[in-house]
Amino acid sequence: MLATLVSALRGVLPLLVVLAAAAPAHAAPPAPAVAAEEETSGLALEYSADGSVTETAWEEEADTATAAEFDYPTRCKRVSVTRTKTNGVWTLWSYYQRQGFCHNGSKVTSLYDYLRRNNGTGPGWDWKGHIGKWSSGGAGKWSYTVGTQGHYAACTVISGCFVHNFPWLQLRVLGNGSWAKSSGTG
Amino acid sequence: MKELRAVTWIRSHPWWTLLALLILLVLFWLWASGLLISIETES
Repeated sequence: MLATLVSALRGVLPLLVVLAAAAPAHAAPPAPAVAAEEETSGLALEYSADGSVTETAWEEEADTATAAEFDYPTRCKRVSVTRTKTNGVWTLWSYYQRQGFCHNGSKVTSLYDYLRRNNGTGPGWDWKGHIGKWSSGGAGKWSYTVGTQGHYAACTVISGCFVHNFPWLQLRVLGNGSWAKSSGTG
Repeated sequence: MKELRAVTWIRSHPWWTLLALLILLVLFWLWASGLLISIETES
């Protein structure tokens, strides 16, 4: 019976080879899970251009010097937003942005630890880079808004890149410590 | 030995079998690339 099946499918094999060549250009591991959106401590990983990874432990802490000037103690926190696209089973791309900020109840007192990055791509999808960044407000103001936009493309060896996604992420932090995230895909 | 019905059908309809395989492969490729079904989430 096996021989019969092989005989029946023999003519299909060359076509299968051609189709396999047209399959997604490469495979990559699924994007790593992103940490909780609002954290009070953790381990930060920074990826350098030369491939090295720097680990930095951090935790939310009170700024006692500034707190002495206000009844409201100055606090710092890091917030982040991630936008992820999947096919229902695995991740196709994941885009990430985070911002650390300190606040005293009426103003954003300082900004630190900004990061935006591609969090990983799935088979057939390529990261093409950041295409935009915007911000308004800042340290000393009531609010600070920062946004970024990236470019992902679905590509094959034969057809090149034929689908393009432009996800954008935005974080808005306020002087009272509250914050909001928003995102979309252009 | 008696052949299975499916095998008999494939032997007698090779081109239809080829077409069905081709369609399945294209559908799989479209799905795997996220072009058929895609879900975007914010976290």
